[in-house]
Amino acid sequence: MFVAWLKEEPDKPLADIAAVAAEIDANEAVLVVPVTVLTEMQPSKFTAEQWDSFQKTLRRSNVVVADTTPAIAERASRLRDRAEAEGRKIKTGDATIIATAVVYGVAVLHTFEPKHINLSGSDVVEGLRITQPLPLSGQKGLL
Amino acid sequence: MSDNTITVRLVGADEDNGVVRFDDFREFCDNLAQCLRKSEAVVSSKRPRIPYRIRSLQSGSACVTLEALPPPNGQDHRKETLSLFRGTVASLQEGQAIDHRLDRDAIETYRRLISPLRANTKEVWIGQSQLTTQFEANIERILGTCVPSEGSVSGVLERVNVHNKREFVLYAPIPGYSIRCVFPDELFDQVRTAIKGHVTVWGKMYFRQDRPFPDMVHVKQMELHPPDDTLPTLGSLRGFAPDCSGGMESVEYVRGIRDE
Repeated sequence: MFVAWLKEEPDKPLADIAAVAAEIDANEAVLVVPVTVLTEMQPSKFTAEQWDSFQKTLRRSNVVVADTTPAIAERASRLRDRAEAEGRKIKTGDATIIATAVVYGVAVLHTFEPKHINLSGSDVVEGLRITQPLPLSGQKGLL
Repeated sequence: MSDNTITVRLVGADEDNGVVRFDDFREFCDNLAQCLRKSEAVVSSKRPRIPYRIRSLQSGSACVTLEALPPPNGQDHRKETLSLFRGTVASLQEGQAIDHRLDRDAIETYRRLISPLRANTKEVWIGQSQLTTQFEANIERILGTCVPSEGSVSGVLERVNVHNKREFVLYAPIPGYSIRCVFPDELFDQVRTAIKGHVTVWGKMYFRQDRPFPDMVHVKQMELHPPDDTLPTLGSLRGFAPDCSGGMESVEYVRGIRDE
């Protein structure tokens, strides 16, 4: 979702992402960002000024940059085991992000990856809600 | 019996004919009050405000029924507080999982409920639960499974305590989580200027299984964040780095990285 928002990709539901961002900016929601997601941002693809702004945004008081702790790593391993038992494969990076969301008890994990959205509410992800970006209020974003 | 009451009973040693020593009773009441206050703080995320009064008091074995009164103002958290307290006591005695919002400090306080058994008291009862040495063993097991790891955590710095120690409490952005931070002398000035500020601390963190935030951090380094109103918003990042995926569509870009 970060990349789509930073690029303002026209085929993505930008109004919905804007509504999510507005909730966070208004301190009505807490944003949990797994460090795994941050590794996908490469400074070489940003100007120094852009990179600085991005880093500063992560320092807001309701943004949690979530380390991969031993508890999250273990949860991710178990998640991969459960997926495998159902004949699915979840890559380590994806499993770590989902496990982070589970351990933090988030209301919802936002992604554009269909294979993760298909897991929403399942036992594999311990019932975690996984959706495309949508504000907690449930109100669709308006263009 | 009303939902707003807690009954506790202490039975003294045989050599005292079951009569409870005043020191044991006084210490137990102090610890009980602390447990109730900490349970209320967990459910309300605010400073505890529920007053309690003695509904009944019997001697012999010392039996007290406390009644939680409505707080003078604000939300009434009596039901959740007493439910958390009763549930935690029962779970700790039976070795079941406890509410993950209870931090190490709160669990240590619950542990002290059993301290009369180490003095001159034969039995401690809270409601229908008799607290035995198993209560303490279960607490040891919970606290003993803390996994240390190096890392960082952010939150609002409050409750600095420098009376014979160097500690503060960090309140995480997700309500209900507080983190005890022990810091070295050389950080004292930095801590003092950061009170009520949003900070990140780095150091050795002690996690209880399945908790997102550590119970305790031995702080090695600390950084005070600028106020939110001086930082960019998420909204302001819209379209601000169009080349951040090197020209690839976002899902393909992320998938490519995770497939590496």
